[in-house]
Amino acid sequence: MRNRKMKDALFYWTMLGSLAFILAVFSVILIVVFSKGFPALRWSLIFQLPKSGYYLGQDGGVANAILGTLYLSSGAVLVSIILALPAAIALQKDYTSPRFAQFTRLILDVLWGTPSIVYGAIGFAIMVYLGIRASLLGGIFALSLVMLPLMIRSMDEVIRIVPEELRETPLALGSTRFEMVRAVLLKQAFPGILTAVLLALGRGIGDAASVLFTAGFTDNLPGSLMDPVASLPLAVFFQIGSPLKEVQQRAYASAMILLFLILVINIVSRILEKRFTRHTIR
Amino acid sequence: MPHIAIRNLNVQCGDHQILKDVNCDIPDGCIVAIVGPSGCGKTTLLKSLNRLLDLNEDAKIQGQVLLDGSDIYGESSDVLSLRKKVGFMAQRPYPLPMSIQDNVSFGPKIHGLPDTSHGMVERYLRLAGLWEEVKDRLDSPAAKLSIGQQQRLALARTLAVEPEVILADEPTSALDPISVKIVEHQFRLLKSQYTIVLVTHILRQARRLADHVIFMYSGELVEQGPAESFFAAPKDERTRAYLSGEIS
Repeated sequence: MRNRKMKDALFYWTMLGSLAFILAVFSVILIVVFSKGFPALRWSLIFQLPKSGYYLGQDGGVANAILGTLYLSSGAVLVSIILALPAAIALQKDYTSPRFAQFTRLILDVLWGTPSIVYGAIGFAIMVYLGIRASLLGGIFALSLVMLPLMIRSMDEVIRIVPEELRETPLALGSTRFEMVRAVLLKQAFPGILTAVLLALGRGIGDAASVLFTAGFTDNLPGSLMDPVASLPLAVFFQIGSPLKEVQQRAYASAMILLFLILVINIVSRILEKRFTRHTIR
Repeated sequence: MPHIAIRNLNVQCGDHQILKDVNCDIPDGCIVAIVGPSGCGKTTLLKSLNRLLDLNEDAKIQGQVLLDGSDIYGESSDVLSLRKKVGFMAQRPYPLPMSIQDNVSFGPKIHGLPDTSHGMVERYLRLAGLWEEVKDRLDSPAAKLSIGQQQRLALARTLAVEPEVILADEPTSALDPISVKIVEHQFRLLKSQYTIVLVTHILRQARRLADHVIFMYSGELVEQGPAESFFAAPKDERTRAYLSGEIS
């Protein structure tokens, strides 16, 4: 009896210890970013384009990178959702043999772990072949490659856990598979699908390597899909390497803006989720 | 000719033979109870009648199920119109993730039936004995209903596609005694208009409801007949053992 209680206590404290350790490490990261970035955070950083000599400590801001990141990530999320949702549904046993689905899941899991620089390099090679230069379009393409495996697999998992009997209900009424997917799977899995989109967005929005060759970098805003575009991760990367203290501080402030963007996107999504899950079966 | 006739039906899942050469005619306009111990193939037999077994990719089906004389497993058979004709109620009711009203009108809408009105929803909720309890909250989520109400909603949803046959797989096993009574009452009211095939492992329920009984054991159809003679004078030794509680 005493032994069992000790095991229980050990398990409890191990769990709490892990959680506390993780929270401590990430708190340190956040504290460093905030303490170093906060002194450089001002409205001009958010709303102004970099002026000449900005990376040498002159005036200006990273509005080009903020908007560029929003263009890149919203474009890539849109492309990824359009491709990932049907692909995730296609992996369900209603459409594909379980063996083929398992094999595809394995491939996607491997792709998910592939370094994003690889996607950037492949994207760049394809762009060279097609005669496209570093541009918003190229960045969206490469970022979509980074997001897709994670988005498909996360969507696949949340659709897969919709109970078998719930899928059977519309089919037993004589619905087609498409009607079943629309009426049941998508509605029931909606919160999970949203989480999948956010996970993929989180992976993509902060990624510097995939857009390094494909989107390029510019101090201006893109006028079209074919123009180069700046991004926050690259803005952080370029500034943090500077020997000048004030430029380094702007790097941390830029990272704070990126974190804030992710926070806002998450909050808005969670509010949306509540609106669309009124009918979810629990 | 009976509405549904089963001829030499064999169902295999992997190496396991679930149904062995089942033959029977399902009489019209009455409640047919399929009884037998757990794992004897009751649900498989029931699901074979509207091809829900097709959803199990391992299931191999041989033989014929004739609906109005034509084989539902034949090449020309249309599974969507079959399932409209032969409705199915599951053991645990799963409301569709939508409002009470939309749950009832879902079937008529997908089949393009002319009437998907509020009046139609009311008619079928009344037939299922649920109208009075939900008439003021038709737009609220079906998931908020109690499990007994959800099962009656499932009945209304099944009836709304205007089937001729209702298959019910232990429809009261998850319900409280009062809900059981209500569902059984609705079945009695409905049996003059529909053929109801009911799987149950509760013998008392079969005695209360059934006009005709089919007894399954280890995948075989052992005995069938009118409820009165089935319970009063079973012919097979296994049926007698089952009815006396020696096998369960």
